[in-house]
Amino acid sequence: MSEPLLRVEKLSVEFKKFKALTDVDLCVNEGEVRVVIGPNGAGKSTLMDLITGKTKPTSGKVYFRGEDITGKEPYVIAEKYKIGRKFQNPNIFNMMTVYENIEVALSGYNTVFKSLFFRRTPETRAKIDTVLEKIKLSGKRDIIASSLSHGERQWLEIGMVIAQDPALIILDEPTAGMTAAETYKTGEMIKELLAEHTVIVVEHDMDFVKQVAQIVTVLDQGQLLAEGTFEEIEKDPRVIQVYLKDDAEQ
Amino acid sequence: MLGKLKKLPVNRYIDAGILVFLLVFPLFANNYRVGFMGKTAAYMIFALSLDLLWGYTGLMSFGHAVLFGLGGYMVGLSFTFSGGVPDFMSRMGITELPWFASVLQNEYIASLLGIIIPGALAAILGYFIFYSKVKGIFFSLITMALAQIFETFFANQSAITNGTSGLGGLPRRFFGIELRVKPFYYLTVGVVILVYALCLRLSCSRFGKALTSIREDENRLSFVGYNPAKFKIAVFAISGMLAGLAGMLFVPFNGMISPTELGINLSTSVLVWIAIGGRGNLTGAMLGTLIVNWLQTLLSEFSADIWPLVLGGMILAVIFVIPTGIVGKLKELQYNANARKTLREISQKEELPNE
Repeated sequence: MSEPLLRVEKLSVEFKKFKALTDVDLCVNEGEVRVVIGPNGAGKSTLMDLITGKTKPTSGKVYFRGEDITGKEPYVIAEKYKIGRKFQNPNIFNMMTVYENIEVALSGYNTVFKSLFFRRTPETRAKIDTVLEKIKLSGKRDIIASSLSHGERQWLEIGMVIAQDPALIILDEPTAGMTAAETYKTGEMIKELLAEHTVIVVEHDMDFVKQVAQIVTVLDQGQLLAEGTFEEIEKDPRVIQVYLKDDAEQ
Repeated sequence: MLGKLKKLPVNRYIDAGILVFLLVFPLFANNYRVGFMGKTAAYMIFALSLDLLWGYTGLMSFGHAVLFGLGGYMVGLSFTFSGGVPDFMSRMGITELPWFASVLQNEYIASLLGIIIPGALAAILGYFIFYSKVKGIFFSLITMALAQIFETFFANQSAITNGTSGLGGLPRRFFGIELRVKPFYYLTVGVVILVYALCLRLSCSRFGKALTSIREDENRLSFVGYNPAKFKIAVFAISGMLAGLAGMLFVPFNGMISPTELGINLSTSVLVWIAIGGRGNLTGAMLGTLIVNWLQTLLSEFSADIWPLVLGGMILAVIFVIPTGIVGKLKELQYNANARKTLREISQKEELPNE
């Protein structure tokens, strides 16, 4: 079997003796859409933090295209290995315009030297326009990001990820906190992304999961609980128990 | 063309106004006033350099005058050593110049060092500060300590720097060119225009956008693939070189340089000028410098005690009424008007049936 795009091996992390993640394995192939689900505190976001270099693991390895990227700095992982990430809470540059947000994220000019001599060429403009079109913010390009609605901020961040030309996209709860109309629009946007990219999505919304997932990974209390197609997962007694327990608590 | 001109942000008109004002000022003023305005022009370069660092990148340096003063001291020492052992040294019984004097005696090398040394100091400091992830207020504290250290150091090395009295009787020279007040003033204004153009170019470039992103959310920027530390070191070094250049232009107008020129006092003053003018748009730095310095001279002639009161009032007014500064407020008003228009157009479009 050929090397998968992303391979996570026995990844563990401890925060002051609290085991946030224990021996998690994960393989994502090129072109795949992987959904990671699990109750609150299952370690979903922690896993994403470890892949993107935000947190360093206590043990275990992360391989990207067979190369060991464990514990590398976030900017190396983003620039060299092209892993783009959308955060759980929209994480954008507030006091900059929509256009500038996308422009900064545009791939390929990230060193001091290159950025000094970067010029807006017709190609870069066209590329930014395409991204703005995709995230439906063309009309608001000159609006300062802090005055956008919550949904629009999420889209802007998705746009920033697209502008990075990523080989792997990580979406952390892209529809969290959105209105029904916004969730629908976001779903459409993400479906477009899924067609062109390898994506890992962390999501709660089961309808959404059912729609997009090829393989679902279930995490619980920092451990891998189950992995399989949505139908398999849906019937898995352990998963049902975890989610039922979660529901019962609420 | 006219349409493009109309779309310019409001502060570009103010920039043009300030530059025109600087150019015509000597036509209506005596040499004393021109000398004062020359100092202000040098201060403008200094403020522009700090605006890159504070306004754009969000790094509030409390010791920026160190870099300004180092530039000034390089040329100051050069002029002092050029005539052999200066009086203050012979009075102390020193008959030989220090080892580095032969280097500084070459005016061109000294002038270059006036730019390179502040830049290098900033780069080295930046390397240690930013790679060890020192952030926010701690950067301000370190730079403030630096200002205190340098001020004390230059005051104590009286065998070389003439201590707190400083180096006096300095000629009006810049890179080997000696001029009378008005021509030298125009030379300085020329440099202001060049530095302004450079800062404008930097801030509009992708480099400038990256700096602004660092101010907004440094961590996010690293997830887009930038190494924020490198950008911060680069901007600190550029800012240091410009500050040194400003110091080199200030000294000839002032005729002397003393340790107060690289201490906390001037470091905080320049922060106040930028805060009043508005940070992060270049214009505010220049406008604030001009307003505060001019008011200070005018009011000091009028009454000795009134200036601190007025300055205090201005600082309070800026903090409570216009936290973004004069130019920041104007930009806000312009942006709000434009944004309202854009949003109205969007909502009108959406109301139309999509057919």
